Amino acid sequence: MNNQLQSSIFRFIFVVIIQLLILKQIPIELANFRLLIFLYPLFIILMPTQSPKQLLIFLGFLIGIILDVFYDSPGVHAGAAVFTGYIRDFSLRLFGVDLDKAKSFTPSIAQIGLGKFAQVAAFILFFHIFVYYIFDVFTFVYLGEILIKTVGSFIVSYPLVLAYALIFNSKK
Amino acid sequence: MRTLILLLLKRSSLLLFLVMELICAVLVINYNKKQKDIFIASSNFFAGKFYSQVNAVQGYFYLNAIADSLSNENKMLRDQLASSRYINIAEQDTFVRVRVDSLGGDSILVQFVYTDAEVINNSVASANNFFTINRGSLHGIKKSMGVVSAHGAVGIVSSVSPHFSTVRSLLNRDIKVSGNVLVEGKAFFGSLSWQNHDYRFLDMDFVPKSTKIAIGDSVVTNGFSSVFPQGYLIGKIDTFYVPPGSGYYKIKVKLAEDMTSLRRVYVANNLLKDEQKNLEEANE
Repeated sequence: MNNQLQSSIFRFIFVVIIQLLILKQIPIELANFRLLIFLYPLFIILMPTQSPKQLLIFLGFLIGIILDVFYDSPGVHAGAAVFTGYIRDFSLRLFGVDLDKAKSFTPSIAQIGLGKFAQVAAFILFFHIFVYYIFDVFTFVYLGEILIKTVGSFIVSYPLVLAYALIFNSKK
Repeated sequence: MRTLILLLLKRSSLLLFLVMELICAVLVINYNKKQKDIFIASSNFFAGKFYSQVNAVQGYFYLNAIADSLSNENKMLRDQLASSRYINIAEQDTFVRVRVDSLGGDSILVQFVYTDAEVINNSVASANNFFTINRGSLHGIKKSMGVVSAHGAVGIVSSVSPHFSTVRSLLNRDIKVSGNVLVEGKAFFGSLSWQNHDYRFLDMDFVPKSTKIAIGDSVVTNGFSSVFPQGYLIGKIDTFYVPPGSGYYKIKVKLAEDMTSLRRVYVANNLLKDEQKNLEEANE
């Protein structure tokens, strides 16, 4: 348990640093839209399985608001990450991960297998990005724009999330 | 009551989720200028239809005033027609004719194209005023185009939906317009903004006190920002003074247009804007 806490804190810091120092600096454009690359939802995906939902929501808000300060977009990342925190457990169950084991574990590739992890990560990441752009564009009138941006961002972010999960593959 | 509390406790994560999202939405709306505009615009997307209905009825009460202003404008436009000009040069030899003819083709370019629009919602009361017009992206309206009325400049387009646009009126703290004071045929530029929250006046700064300005002098747009065409009346000087220790006048400009009864406006599309902007950005 202690170990999971430590690695979560470490992951929190590391993901934020990568997000801000590297990913924020990379400009990617699709059809005149500037796209963002998302890595930090991975932090919420990889939270220990028995963390209460309230904690996930709160940590989502925390990591989102920290990024918002740097992205100069108060509330946008936070809104998306809160949503991600809320659907994390649901998504794991949806793809057949058993959360009711007696022992808490990190839903990493080593724990739940590459196939399940890839599905869960895709599901959560896509909706995270979708909600992010809803908050960013802030109206459903431009649904086409939201969808183009979401798909574009998802395509560039997803390999990165998988790569990170493969490199830092927690066995606990 | 007890069951309600129990229900809330049972659903506390959902509750927390909703509260958090609400906080985020409030943050988004309050701190981000872009979203702030769009929040207004998207509400207009739904409200716009309502307003245009209301406007259809209200329009009858303003018919006289509108007809007056339109006929005035027609007169002004007719004044500008070539046929209404008397050419004061007797065409005595071919030289003059050649000069006149050579003005065709590329020597005159159209820089501004106007789209007419009707104001369907207006405010002058808040700290940042907007009005809504019944023209949108389908009519070629884009963000940050200038909006003028028969009497002068009135605002800048801030956001656009397919059928409607929200215009940041000159009565808006976020707006700064560059203007010229005309003194004896010379132009001195200054910066206009709305600081006093009186909907009849704008404040003008940075006109050097060496200029000999007088009450009643005209303030016109100078086209620096490429939003408004040059020479549109903004207002006339109402009062002015030099603050102690300052080299510049503090000028109160009475707006030429009565912003409370704004009905018919024209959106000015500057066709050379991108060229100017690209050139200026390249220099930075």
